[in-house]
Amino acid sequence: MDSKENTPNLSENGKPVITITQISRPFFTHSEISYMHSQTIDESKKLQYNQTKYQIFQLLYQVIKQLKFPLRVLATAMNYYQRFYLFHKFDGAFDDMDKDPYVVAITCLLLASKNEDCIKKLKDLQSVVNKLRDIDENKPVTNTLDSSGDSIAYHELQRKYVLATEFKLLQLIKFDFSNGANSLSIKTSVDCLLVQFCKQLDINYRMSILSWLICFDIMSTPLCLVIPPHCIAVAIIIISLNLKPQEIKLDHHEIGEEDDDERLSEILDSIDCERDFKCPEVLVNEGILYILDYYIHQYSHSVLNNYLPAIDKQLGKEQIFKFMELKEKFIDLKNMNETSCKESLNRTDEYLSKWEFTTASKGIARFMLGNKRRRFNKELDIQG
Amino acid sequence: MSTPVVASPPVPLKKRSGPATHNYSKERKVGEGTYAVVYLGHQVTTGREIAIKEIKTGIFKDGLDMSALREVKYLQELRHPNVIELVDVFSTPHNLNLVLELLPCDLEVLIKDKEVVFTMGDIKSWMLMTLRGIHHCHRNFILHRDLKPNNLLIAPDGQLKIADFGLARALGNPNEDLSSNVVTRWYRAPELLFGAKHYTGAIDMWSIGIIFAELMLRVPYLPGKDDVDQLDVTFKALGTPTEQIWPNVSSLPMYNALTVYAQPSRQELRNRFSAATEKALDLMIMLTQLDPSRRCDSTRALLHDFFTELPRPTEPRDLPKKSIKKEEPDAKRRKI
Ligand SMILES: Nc1ncnc2c1ncn2[C@@H]1O[C@H](COP(=O)(O)OP(=O)(O)OP(=O)(O)O)[C@@H](O)[C@H]1O
Ligand SMILES: [Mg+2]
Repeated sequence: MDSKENTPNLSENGKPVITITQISRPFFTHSEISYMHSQTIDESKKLQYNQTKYQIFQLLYQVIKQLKFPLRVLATAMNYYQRFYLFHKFDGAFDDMDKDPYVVAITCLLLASKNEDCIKKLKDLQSVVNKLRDIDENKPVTNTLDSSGDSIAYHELQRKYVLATEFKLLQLIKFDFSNGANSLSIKTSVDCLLVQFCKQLDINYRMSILSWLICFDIMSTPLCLVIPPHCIAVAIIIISLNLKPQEIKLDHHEIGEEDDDERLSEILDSIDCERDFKCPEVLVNEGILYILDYYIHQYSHSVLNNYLPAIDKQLGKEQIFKFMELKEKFIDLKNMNETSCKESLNRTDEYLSKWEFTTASKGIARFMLGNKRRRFNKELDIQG
Repeated sequence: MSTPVVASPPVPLKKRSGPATHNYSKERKVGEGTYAVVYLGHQVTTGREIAIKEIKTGIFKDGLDMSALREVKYLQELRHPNVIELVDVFSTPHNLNLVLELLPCDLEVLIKDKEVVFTMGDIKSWMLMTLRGIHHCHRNFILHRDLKPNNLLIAPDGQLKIADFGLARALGNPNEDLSSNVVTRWYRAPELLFGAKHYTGAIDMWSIGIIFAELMLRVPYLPGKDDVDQLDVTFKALGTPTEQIWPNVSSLPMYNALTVYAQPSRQELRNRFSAATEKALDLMIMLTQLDPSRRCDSTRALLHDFFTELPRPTEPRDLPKKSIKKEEPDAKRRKI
């Protein structure tokens, strides 16, 4: 078992010290994720979890716009948030800071901005978030961290909780700051990768925008916990080139792109995921099927919905049918084999159980980058 | 002093003669930086000597310090004989610990130790190891941004290792602004002094050029007293950049009110660096080009004739070591 390895060591007083080796695992299969969620999110809280996540991601988007952070800070923060609730119980108790998902959200933003080198003071992050939520951060509240029952300013208490949560989050990401990319030399955020890949393939403005809109929708899904960013980017491009919508509602148009159809088909046929982008094909396929499923189920709530006409002219039907048609076409794709991740196996894999934060206080936790990353070794050669 | 604990009661941390943390013993404190305390220790299983850098979490207002984050992030990715090895990362109840290979000396200590004589072969060997290390970083699109003699540590076997990645940064996003407030002043490239928001690995190459000069002079080459003085000292030694030698330099934010100094003649440089051969001077001039686009990169530097002319670079194990004098307080040793 590669997850938790107990190595008793002798300390100087002869008592064994428990050491827990934590190996960073940036990716999980869908069944591993649902197994982990089954432990952290009660059946009755599932809906609330999703609604809260949606609200929080909307809020984070506003925050990064105000702070003029690049989109990759948002992507990383959303990745952290979703990762957090794989290992940590979701209670959705907003009035108890110990369980408040907004404290988690601020923490994710804090660590994401540090990791992406967009540093802002925690106080400033809090103030933007609290203002957007209409919370008076100077109001006195009971200091729940202190038995004296003294009161303390809301933002001061919030900051204490954020800092404690940061240490938890660091343990959950196993001090791995690579965002699942195998090497820091490649861009780790899907939106940056998309720009690069579209350029590389000489894809026109209209299609690049389309893929960017899809990226925007997919960014907030758990797909980032399943496959690496460059595979997501390629999956998005393949879907865009398959959709090839005649009309996108855009303020800005490049001239002469209407006649590009044939060329786009040629580009699509020529794409070789492994050769051009060092993406294992199964992982790209995984991404394609996930994205199609996403639109089949959530199209009406998607960003894309605002930019495509309700009825697709070619098909003469609502857009959603186009995704269903594509799914039909892709149904035979070889995707990830989950036989190694059966429910019964997941139950015995301690890595997937809720992270015991007191572990580190019982002994010592050591953190290593996992070699499961070898799965994605091909990406090593990509040049930024 | 530690991260605020929520729910669980604080766990008392044993002070003094620390417990065997995991596979490592923490023995005595060897130094303290702004965000960490460094201890000497041993890897219990192998007996290998190591350094444990204990990050002071909580006391910093905003949680995990950026320098610590960068050090973990970049050192986890880099493995090279001339880059300090991050052996392990572990956390105790309130602390993050980085286990590093133990490097008991650094280049600044040697430069300042007037008992020690450097030959051109020694200097060549240190330059070669520094360039190999930085070449590895740049090949991985990582800028160090704080090269200076006291961040070039020396292993017991004489190998030089680039250390202190607290200011390092990946070069992933070409259009983004970067902070120009990086690199310790005396080793700061002119584009940084002018406040450039976009720069490249050339800033590290400049630092290496200035370190090269310092190895030959045995005193800091461009010791500016403050940021304004640094511009003056730099240009007095190497000439004031003009549009001719550095196109578009005048559009950089802090390019104004400069005293114009002429470029130094070759003879002036020969006089200043009396020990340098012509090839050594060539390399130094290439590394200290004012225009970053003309400065030589790590590949060109490593292929430079200076490294193939005689004398041969000294074998690391034969390089000069710290002279053994009366006991110096270790903690103060590397403080500037
Ligand atoms: N790998 C190591 N082996 C031996 N001693 C080390 C090692 N790393 C650091 N030290 C010692 O610990 C001291 C503190 O190191 P640290 O890197 O935290 O700070 P610094 O670079 O000296 O200062 P600052 O934090 O201001 O940059 C150093 O001055 C050095 O004496
Ligand atoms: Mg230092």
